Amino acid sequence: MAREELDRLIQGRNLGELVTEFRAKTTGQHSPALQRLINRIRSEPMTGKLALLCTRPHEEWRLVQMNGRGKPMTLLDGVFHDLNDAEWAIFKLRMKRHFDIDLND
Amino acid sequence: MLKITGYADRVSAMPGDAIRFMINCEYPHYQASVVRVVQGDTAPEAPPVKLVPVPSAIDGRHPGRPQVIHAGSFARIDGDIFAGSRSFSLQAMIMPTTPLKGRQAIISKWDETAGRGIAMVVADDGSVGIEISDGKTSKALSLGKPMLAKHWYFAAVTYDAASGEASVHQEPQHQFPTIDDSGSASAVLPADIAWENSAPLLFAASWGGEDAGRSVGRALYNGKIDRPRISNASLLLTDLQVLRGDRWPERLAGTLVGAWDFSRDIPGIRIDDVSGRERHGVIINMPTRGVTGHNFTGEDGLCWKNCPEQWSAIHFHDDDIYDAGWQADFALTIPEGMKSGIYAVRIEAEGEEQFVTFVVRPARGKPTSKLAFLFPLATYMAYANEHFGTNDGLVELHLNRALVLHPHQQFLNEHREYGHSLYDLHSDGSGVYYSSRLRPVLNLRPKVEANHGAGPSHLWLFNADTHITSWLENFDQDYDVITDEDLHQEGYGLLSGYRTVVTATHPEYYSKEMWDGVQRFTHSGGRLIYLGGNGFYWRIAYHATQPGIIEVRRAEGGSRAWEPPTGEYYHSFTGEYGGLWRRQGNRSPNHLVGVGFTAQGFDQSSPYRRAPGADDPRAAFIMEGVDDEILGDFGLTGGGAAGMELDRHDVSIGSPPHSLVVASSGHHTEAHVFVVEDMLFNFMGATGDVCDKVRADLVFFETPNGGAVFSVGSIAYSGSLPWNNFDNNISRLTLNVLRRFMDPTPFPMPNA
Repeated sequence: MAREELDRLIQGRNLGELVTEFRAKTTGQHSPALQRLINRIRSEPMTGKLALLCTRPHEEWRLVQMNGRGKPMTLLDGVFHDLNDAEWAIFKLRMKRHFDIDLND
Repeated sequence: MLKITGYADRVSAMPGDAIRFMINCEYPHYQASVVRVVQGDTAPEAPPVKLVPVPSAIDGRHPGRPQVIHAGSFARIDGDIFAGSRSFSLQAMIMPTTPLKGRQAIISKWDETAGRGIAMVVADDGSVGIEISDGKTSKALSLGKPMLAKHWYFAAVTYDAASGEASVHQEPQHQFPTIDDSGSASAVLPADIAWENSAPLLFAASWGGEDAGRSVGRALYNGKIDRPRISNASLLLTDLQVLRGDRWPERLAGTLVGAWDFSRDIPGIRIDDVSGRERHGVIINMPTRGVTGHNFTGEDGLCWKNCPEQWSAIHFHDDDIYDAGWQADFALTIPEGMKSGIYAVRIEAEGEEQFVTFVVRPARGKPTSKLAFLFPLATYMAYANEHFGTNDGLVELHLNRALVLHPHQQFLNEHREYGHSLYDLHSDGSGVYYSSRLRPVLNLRPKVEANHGAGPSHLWLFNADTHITSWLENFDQDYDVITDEDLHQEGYGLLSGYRTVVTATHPEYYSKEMWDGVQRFTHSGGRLIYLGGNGFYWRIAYHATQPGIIEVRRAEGGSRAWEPPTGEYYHSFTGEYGGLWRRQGNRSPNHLVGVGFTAQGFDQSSPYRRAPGADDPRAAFIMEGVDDEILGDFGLTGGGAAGMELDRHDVSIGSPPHSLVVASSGHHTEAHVFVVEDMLFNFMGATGDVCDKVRADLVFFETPNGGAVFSVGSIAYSGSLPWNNFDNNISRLTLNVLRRFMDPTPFPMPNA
């Protein structure tokens, strides 16, 4: 089921190429298939959503999971010093969460 | 988690005025000082942060103390309502919005500390209930059939002290075949329960006592209450039903000790008793008035002024907050001669830093510069303590990038008593219509980041606006700072002494008085530099008697965070129709500044490209020394001058026909989407990568009596000003405009 959804999203594009595209440029205009894919995995509700907490302005971000309106967030393992690295870590976790796909660096 | 927060009783002050500062500090001591805010962006790509210390009388060490906020709105009536009777009937039409939240008081005279009193409640089981307690033994009875959220019910409870008989009644206005939510229940409780107590009578809460002069509500109710009535006798259901209306027979008048009509004084804070007993009261924490009652038809007009009896309801929320009511910790009297500008009190303790921002404006009628920066306090209030990053998961699809939260947002998510922005929903899902500045506003300070501003700076509103002040100071341009709250109060007179007014990056919320003041300025020879995007967009209202609070009703359409229900399109503060200025006659942003909101996206910005208007001799002064075809392909907000929120030149919406488009952006990201108010049907191809209406237009036009307007139509624009140490084509172009606009030589109107 998850695989079917992934196929529908990327419509024949090579997943490896899309992953490479995201790793190279996490923000801004993406190819249509990559944009569909990330729109899907970013549509997580606030409860359970992966996000970042800025712990030192412009220097350090901590991976967190949101637990819904008014509820304290959960601090997860993962401290980043570059927002692109943080985007990439969230992308990998979501590919696992939504499609059971393991991605390596 | 933040341990220091604070606010001031006023944001704008002139020499001689005293500002009181209220500080919550969980540390034993803190250092206070005053800084003039010039540049608050902490990004390494930005010029260094510039907060200029200003010695003042409040400098030094102060004792810290925690101060808390008691959110939640209710109404309070003092005095002895029941005249010694222990028998009573409580009733109202109610529309609960969170019936299953837990115990919520609808009408109470109940002292929580003593555990004594009487109350009609939404019980834990979601149905109407009665509670009676003498402080030792508490008795409760509820129907046991949960009410539906957002549906109207007749609710009543009675207690006969002689017999001990108690009853509850719950009758839905509309019945549904699969929902069993109607009925009555009764029980025999002990007779003559001694429930009397000193608590005030409250609607929508029980009494939690007073804390530092503030009324504290407990068991806070979410939803509407309409036509509450109290009798000091146990009435039969048939008599309770009679009292639902606005007239009652004489035989019931003797025991009717209070009947409140919330349609009176909708713009005020009073609630009127129409029983003849004069048991008038007040609202606390600004519940929403001017909302539809149980008898709203939709066929007798849509404004509460025309048919008030259909707006005889108040919507209470457990997270409403008006004035936090903290104790003042110190006051600063603005010395004569203190330079007009943006300032902040800096509070520091144990490595933590907090700011309370304020403005020093010139004395009335005595500008100290020919240039004014118009501090958009109303818009800052609209966004005060926004919860974009913690309420709705779809925010990531706005941003098209990972959600980055900042410590103040983490704090605000868990401290809902700090109140909401006009972009948030109350805990019951209804839109937030009011926003106050009499509470800590944690995103109105230097050094703060936000979700919506793109990188590398990630700024939004106030801190992004310091790109403008740092740019002015880089070029040694003196300026006064005035707020739009001053503009609302003083109108054109506030602006008349200036040759040029510069706006902030996002002056979005405007009252009629503010709008008229700006327009009269531009039509009286004044020059306006609109250095932002999505400005002059929503109409707002100020309260006539309660300072520091604004209202928005997002009527009809527009790019909006919530939709008011039909019948709630008119401001309660003024009776004015709410919504977009473009739906209010010839008052679109295009009429005022030549451009109007057309698209938004928050991932990456784009440059402008010279447009044919740049070659018009009328625009020659703008492009002097700027030969580049591409303008602003750099910047601190998304890497370009055009981004975030964009405005389009469009004569069909009101842009003056003689206005020149000097440059336009294009090829925006797919995350920049065309605004809904321009899409009658949704359609494909409405994103920045394919839609040519997703663009910012840089516009110039002359106005009557030698004035002129220059508009950039982009929130990201000012993020390009400081780039490369202020040496770039956007900075040059803007400086050309500023210098010409400061030149008193009138702008001639172009010939036909």
